[in-house]
Amino acid sequence: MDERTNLSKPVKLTGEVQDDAVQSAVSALLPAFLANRLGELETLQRLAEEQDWERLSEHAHRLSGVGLLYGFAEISRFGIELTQLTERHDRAAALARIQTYALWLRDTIPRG
Amino acid sequence: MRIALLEDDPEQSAIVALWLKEAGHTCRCFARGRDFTNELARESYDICLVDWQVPDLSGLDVLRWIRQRITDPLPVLFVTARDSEADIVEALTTGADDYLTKPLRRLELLARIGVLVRRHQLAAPLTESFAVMPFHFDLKRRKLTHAEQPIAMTPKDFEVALFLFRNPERLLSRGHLFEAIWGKTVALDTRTVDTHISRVRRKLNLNGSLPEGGCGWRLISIYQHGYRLETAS
Repeated sequence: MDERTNLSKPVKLTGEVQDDAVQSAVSALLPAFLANRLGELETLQRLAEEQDWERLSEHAHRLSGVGLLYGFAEISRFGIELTQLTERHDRAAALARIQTYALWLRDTIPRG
Repeated sequence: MRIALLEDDPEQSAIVALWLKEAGHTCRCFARGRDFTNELARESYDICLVDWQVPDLSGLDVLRWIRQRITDPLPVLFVTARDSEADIVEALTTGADDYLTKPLRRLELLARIGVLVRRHQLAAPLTESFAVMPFHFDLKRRKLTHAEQPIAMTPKDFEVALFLFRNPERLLSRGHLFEAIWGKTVALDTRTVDTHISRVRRKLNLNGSLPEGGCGWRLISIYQHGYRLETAS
């Protein structure tokens, strides 16, 4: 199965074997990347509450792409699922999914 | 390779630039289509990576601009989240040389770049020796001969001459020459390139004269841009 769709499988950074130099350089970018994810939680929640599906979909779509790029399949999975929820205009489910993502993110960051 | 990247998402461009740098390429990132075309109007690159959805000009607009305005071969690799057959066909028919969908994978991206470089024969491969009549570059000893007669050159002049002859008939900007020969991190005025070019032109007699008077090659200056080595004919 393609790494990009096999999101349940734990992946190394970018979903492939990395050279040490690349791994090390990518690691240096991770604190800022995760801080940005934490910083955008409030925006995601507000857009879902306001049912601004277009902008929420843009955020979700972007996360689906950028997550795996930095080695976080869970972020990509969240982006894909949130995109689907915005298409269904499902406010309650979107807010619930953002909540579980927020818990995962807050749990991940200290270890990141 | 010298690579220009058009990507408006800083987190994505940071990763791609890092991959390219670790693979030995130099990469300049641009977030807006207009900035990208302005750069290409004055600087030469070996390959462009272009995202579809960016501010100012779309990736497709940028692609059209490149195909209308850049006369030298310039491979363009389209990189986008849009993956429908219609999107891919539109990008390829507009002039993209290849198409990659996001999220990118490092080894695939590097392999695609390698294929485009080989397909366009952007630079002659480096081996122990390199001959372009009537010159012969001995890369091991860093010696250049003309009709078997050695030409006295400084190491940097040798590098300049070698880079020019590996990229004949291409418009090369001063910045491109500078990065390729001195490295991006060296803080020197790009006018340094002009000094070395002038010396190489004189020593190799790259004035376009016929064989009896010159070497059959000419090194021309392109106003406000750079240089092109071309055959005299």
